[in-house]
Order: sequence, then structure tokens, then C-alpha cells
Amino acid sequence: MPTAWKTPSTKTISGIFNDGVTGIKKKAIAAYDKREAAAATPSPRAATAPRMRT
Amino acid sequence: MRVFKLTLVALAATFAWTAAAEAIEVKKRREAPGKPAEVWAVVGDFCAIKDWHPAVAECEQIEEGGDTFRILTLGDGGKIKEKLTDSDDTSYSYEIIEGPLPVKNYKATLEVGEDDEPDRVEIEWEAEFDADGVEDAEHEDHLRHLQ
Repeated sequence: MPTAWKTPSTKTISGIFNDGVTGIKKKAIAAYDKREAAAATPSPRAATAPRMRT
Repeated sequence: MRVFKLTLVALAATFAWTAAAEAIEVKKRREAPGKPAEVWAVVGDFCAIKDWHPAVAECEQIEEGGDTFRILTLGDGGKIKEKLTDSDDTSYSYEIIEGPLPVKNYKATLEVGEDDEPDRVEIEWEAEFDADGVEDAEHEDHLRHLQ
């Protein structure tokens, strides 16, 4: 549950930071998953390119 | 003479306690997969906070007198003005210029660094500030309960 900033008080600051680093972690995981998915999927060009004759 | 010495000791103790209670620190860390530059590319822009912090509805970046500021609009419409004071490839530091939070002399740094494990990062957000309106000791006690 995100920290509410509607009623600022001294008690909210630690919660604000918690929500922030958790939000960054989510973004990092999404970026990592995207990178891994891209690495696992062969590019269309590679899949359709004729094999080189040896 | 003895009373004088005792008074000096008491004064020294008071000053030491006051100095220790001057600033409050809050530090939060998380680990995540990825490389620092890769994560920073997503969250490192000064106004990217609107994308990763659930309490920030909008962020406007402005330049004033050669300095960079961001104005955060919170979910209820409250606004916080912050000044960028330093930055490098995977970190930035800033201070609050004005806002509704009960703090003063607020300075903070956000950093994404390498973790000990390969292909993982350590996200760290830390701040130092004084309580504005309540005793620091009381303030710090509140924060310790929440950490």
C-alpha cells in the first residue's frame, strides 16, 4: 500500500522512501525481463535469413 | 573548583547530545536484477520520479538562474520544489526548497550501484534533515519505529 502524502507528518518520510525504492525495483525488474525476453527471442531477420552455403 | 569542573562536564555532555541529535538520517536499500546503467536509464532522469514513486502524480523540471529544479505534484495536489545539487552517471543529489513535509535542511541522494552479485544492482535512497516543528529526538523515534 503506497504511503499517503495527503497529511504530511514526520512519520511519513520513512514510508515515502520505502515506496520509492520499491518502485525503482519494479522498474528494474521490468527492464531486466524485457532484456532477457529480447535475448531469448531470435530476431525475425535471423529466423528467415537463408543459410549460408559452405 | 569541583563544582566548576562538574559544570564543564555537564555542558560538554549537553553539547555532545545536541550535536548527535542535530540531523536525522533515513536510508533505504533494495536489490534488483540488472546493470546500474540499464536501471539508471529508466529511473535516473530528475523527473522520472513520477514514473516510479506512487505518491507523485506529476513532475515539472525547470531551470532558474542556471540551476535545475523539479516541482512535484502529489496525489492530493500538494507541491514540493526540489533543487538538483549534484549528479553523475548513476546518482543524483537534491535538496528540498519548499514543500509540506515537516523537515528543514533536507538533503538527499539517490543512487543505483553495482551489487556484489553479477548482473544485480543496489538501489539506495538516503536523506539527512532536521525536524521542523517537533523535537528531533521525538522525530527520530517515530522514524525508527517505521524502519
